[in-house]
Amino acid sequence: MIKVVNLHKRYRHLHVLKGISTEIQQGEVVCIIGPSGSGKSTFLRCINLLEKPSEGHIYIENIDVTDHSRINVNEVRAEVGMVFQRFNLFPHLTALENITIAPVKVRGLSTEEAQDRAYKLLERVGLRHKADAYPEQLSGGQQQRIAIARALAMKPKALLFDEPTSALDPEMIQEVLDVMKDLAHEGMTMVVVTHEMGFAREVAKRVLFMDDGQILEEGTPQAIFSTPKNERTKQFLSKIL
Amino acid sequence: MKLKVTLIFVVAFLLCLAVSGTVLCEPVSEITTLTITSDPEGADIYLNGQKLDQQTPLTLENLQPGQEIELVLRKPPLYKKSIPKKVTVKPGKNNVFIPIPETWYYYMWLYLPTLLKAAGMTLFLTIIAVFNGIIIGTFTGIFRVVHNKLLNTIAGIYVDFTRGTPLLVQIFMIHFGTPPIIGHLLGTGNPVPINPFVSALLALSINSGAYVAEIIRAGIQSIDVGQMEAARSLGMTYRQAMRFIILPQALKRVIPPLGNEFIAMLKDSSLVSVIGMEELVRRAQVIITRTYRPTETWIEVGLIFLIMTLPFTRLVAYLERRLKTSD
Ligand SMILES: Nc1ncnc2c1ncn2[C@@H]1O[C@H](COP(=O)(O)OP(=O)(O)OP(=O)(O)O)[C@@H](O)[C@H]1O
Ligand SMILES: [Mg+2]
Repeated sequence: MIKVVNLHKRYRHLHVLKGISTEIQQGEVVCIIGPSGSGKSTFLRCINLLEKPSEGHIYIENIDVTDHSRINVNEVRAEVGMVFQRFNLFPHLTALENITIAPVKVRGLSTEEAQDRAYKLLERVGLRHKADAYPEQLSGGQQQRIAIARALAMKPKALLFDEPTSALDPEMIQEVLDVMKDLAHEGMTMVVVTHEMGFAREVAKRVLFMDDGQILEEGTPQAIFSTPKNERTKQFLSKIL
Repeated sequence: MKLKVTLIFVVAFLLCLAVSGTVLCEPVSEITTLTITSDPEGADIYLNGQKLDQQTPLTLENLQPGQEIELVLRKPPLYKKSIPKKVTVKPGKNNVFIPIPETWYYYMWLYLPTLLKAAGMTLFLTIIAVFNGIIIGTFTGIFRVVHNKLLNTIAGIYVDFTRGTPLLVQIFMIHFGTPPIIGHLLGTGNPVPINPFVSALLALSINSGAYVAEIIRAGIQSIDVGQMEAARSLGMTYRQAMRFIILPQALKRVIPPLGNEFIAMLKDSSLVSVIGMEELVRRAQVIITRTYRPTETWIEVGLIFLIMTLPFTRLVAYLERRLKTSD
């Protein structure tokens, strides 16, 4: 579904991603862990082209999205949803409008169609009653659930999560993780940067350990968390567990 | 005998004269009047503290010779009350002239309508200039942030040039600098003078545009980059993200600074007085050349500016407070 081949990203003199290659299957949930600054966010942002890769190829359903002569960047982004650490809801729009705006403006849905879809999604994240609330009136956990609904409204082929729970108060983490688990069980393809080991163990098929712009180790959650092979992975895990 | 007759005639004549004198002249000299005149006329008259129904000039007739009276004149609101004048009524005709001193605000009041009209022109100039400025500035501000080198550069040069040179110089450039160019372009070589109103409006609009552009740019850039990323991640184009996500949020934030720009322009527009544009300051200068009252007039002009800016200053402060609580 998503295939990354020898991906490099440089900011001027800073070499952030140093040759990442991996493949994510349809319906697979992949968690990425790694120390701060290792390039996890940059990797995600490259996948939906928020950052332009410096080198290498990314294939989404066998289409090379790094080939700018042939693809429309906006269409690619519409197919790959993203959930941010700090939610990034649109503060001037209600929860419902946050969800409907992209389907209407990008997909060309009618307002009614988009709202139908949005209400179903609100139901799914348990916030049907907050449709008319503005982001500032919602708790962090509620905002993040709306943000997930907003991404889902585009019916994306895959969803990318960049530390979706690390800006949340502890008591709100679970409600967001529950929504994500539901998604995983429904077969959504997900790439999740997270340090929630419980979540990774429960739903991830694979865990990637990134450090210094490279994937140093990958395997099942069991393998990575219980019997890490790489020294750096061990070090990292001993610090966060 | 002849002499005797002549003498009798002379005596008779004299007698007759004397009699006629007492009969004809005596009643006239017995009416005592007091005529009150003043500068200016039309003042209220207070006689021994009692206000009379009539105003100056006035002739009073029901007076007794030897009567002592005190006169005070008033002509509000432009004049002070006159110094009390004691008059001892003499038999016959009396005349009294009383000058009424002007109040300190005499000239301020006298020219208030003229100055207010000129203030209207100042306000009008400012409104049009800021309106144009908002149109120019919105485009320029957006041109400064879009990913287009050419637009960035053009907008950058305009903003830097306008903000980096005095408004006074810009006014001179347009009013005195462009006529020869227009003449040259028309091929005649003769400078084509520009109406001061047109020059003023042009200069102020161009100037305002640059400042508004900076306000718009700052407003756009004050929006969290996460907003653009979220919009793009949903497949919106840069234009769509700008239009539906960034600009609506930026708009709210630029309203208070735009209010400040309006206040600044209201004050700075006075510079167009140098090219003879008849606004508040220019009008005041003209008035002063007539009245030689610079102190009162400039105080008045200052007050008029203050009264015009104060409501906006308050409004901006209110909007800023409201914005802070909603953020
Ligand atoms: N736009 C940018 N310009 C320059 N350097 C950048 C930019 N974005 C990221 N970097 C650098 O790239 C490196 C990797 O950043 P990235 O955000 O991908 O790390 P991360 O693994 O997500 O870290 P964290 O866990 O703190 O989120 C960092 O050193 C960061 O400073
Ligand atoms: Mg990150």
